[in-house]
Amino acid sequence: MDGAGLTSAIFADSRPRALAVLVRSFRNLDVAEELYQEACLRAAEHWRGTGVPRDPTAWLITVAHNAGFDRIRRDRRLSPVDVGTALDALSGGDAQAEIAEAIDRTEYRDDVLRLLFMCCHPQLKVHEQLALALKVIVGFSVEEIARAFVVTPDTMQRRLSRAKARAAGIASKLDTPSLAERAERLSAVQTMIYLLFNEGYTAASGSEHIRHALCEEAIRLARLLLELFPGQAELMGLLALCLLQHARTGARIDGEGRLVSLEDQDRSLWDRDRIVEGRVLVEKALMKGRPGPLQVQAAIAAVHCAAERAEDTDWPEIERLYGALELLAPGPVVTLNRAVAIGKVRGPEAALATLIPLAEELDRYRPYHSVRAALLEESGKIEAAIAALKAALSCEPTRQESAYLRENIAALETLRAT
Amino acid sequence: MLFTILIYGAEGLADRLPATEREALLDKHRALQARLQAEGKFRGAVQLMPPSTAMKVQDKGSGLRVLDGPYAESKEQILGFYLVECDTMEEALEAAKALPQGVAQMEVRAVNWAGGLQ
Repeated sequence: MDGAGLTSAIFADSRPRALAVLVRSFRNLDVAEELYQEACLRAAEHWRGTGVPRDPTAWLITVAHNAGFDRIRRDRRLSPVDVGTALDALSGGDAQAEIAEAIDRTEYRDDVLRLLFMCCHPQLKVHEQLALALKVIVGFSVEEIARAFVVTPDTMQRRLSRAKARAAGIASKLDTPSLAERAERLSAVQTMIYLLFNEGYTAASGSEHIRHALCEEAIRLARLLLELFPGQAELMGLLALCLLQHARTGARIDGEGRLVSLEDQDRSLWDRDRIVEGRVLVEKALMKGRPGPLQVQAAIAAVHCAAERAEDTDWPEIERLYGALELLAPGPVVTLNRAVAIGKVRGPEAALATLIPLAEELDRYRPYHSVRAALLEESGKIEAAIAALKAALSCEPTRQESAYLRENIAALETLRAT
Repeated sequence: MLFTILIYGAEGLADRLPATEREALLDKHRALQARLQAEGKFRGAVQLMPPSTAMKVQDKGSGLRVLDGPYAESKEQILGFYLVECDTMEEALEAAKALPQGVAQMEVRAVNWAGGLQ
């Protein structure tokens, strides 16, 4: 095999763990990034002769550590708080083996969590959090991140510098978390990962290629966290939810770039591997008996994915699951989705009744009016359905959505005329 | 004699390869499978899902318990395996050598018993 692709794959794969350890040792994000970069450069050269070592992550961390200590010797101004620990890890016979072992020890999982949590600093705006995570943890270039968020590289560079400066402030304060703190951090990081996924999944802007990459990276991060905290049911739910949604990516957009509704998607285009993994994860998570919103959402996605044809969908089960989601994470959008399921199970009148209390709250929410329009049409109230579609049109739809709405209005007006 | 080629590696590493390299990697698998098939030596091949999907059953004394995991602490996982009918170890090793190296390590081992094969 040609080595270049493999070594870059390894560098990307090792990055989160390696940076997590380096940030702990040197207490500085920029220094950690530089040292890792240096280690990768040396690896690219060295491995050409020796082949890839048995544990490349440990190799990279060892070399980066050594480079860090060299730097400290040269520059006395750099004095890591934790240098003792780092040196301990390297002392004795086989330093690399010791580090390899240390990475496996559970304390290191808190390092990775700390690194991710730094990116979720509450003072950072969501987009700054995601940009920082992509830069630091995933290792995207500034240009790539700029492309994902449709800004110029210069703008992104400034944003990242500001975000890093803020994140650095908390890096030194984050010690080993208590149980409650760990749960809090996990929850914040979970949210960040799901936002990252959604940025790729739903963003209207950015090229398809880069958006796809965001989804993949979010899935990798969820996978990494689950590997480190394997007992967490919600984390399992997160990974499952991302996988099950991502499985439908290939069928979501038609040849002309239009969104295809779940009902109309060509299901043969769904990714079977992701669906199988997602469904197994949902089952595993629910076995734990600690349901959470992500698990239930994943379960709903799993029910959809289990249906070979749209008409095979187990709507009663979906209605039950939305009922559960309403208890766990109540909100008007959840109720709206439950109404859709109710419509399938008990007919449009029952669904319309469920929507009544949402009228005010969701008045500016386009999907609310679209759902209402479909239900009204189904129950034969054409006039009211047209009004609902017009209300949807007033909610700032995208160009594609408004074309779709206008088509529907025209069709209903023809229907009314006959 | 029946042999197995166990494939170990870092989970997800192959997915990070550039598309052309990933495709080249799959081509090697397909080519080996086609050759073994033609020679009547192919008895099966399995690619496993990521370890996130794994569970284990353990006897806890008070009865069988289903647990999460295997919580493998190692970065090297079993990714899949081949079952090949060969006359010699050497032949089985030849098959293992034909598989893509680098992303994974192969272990060739004689099989004691196998059932339900095609």
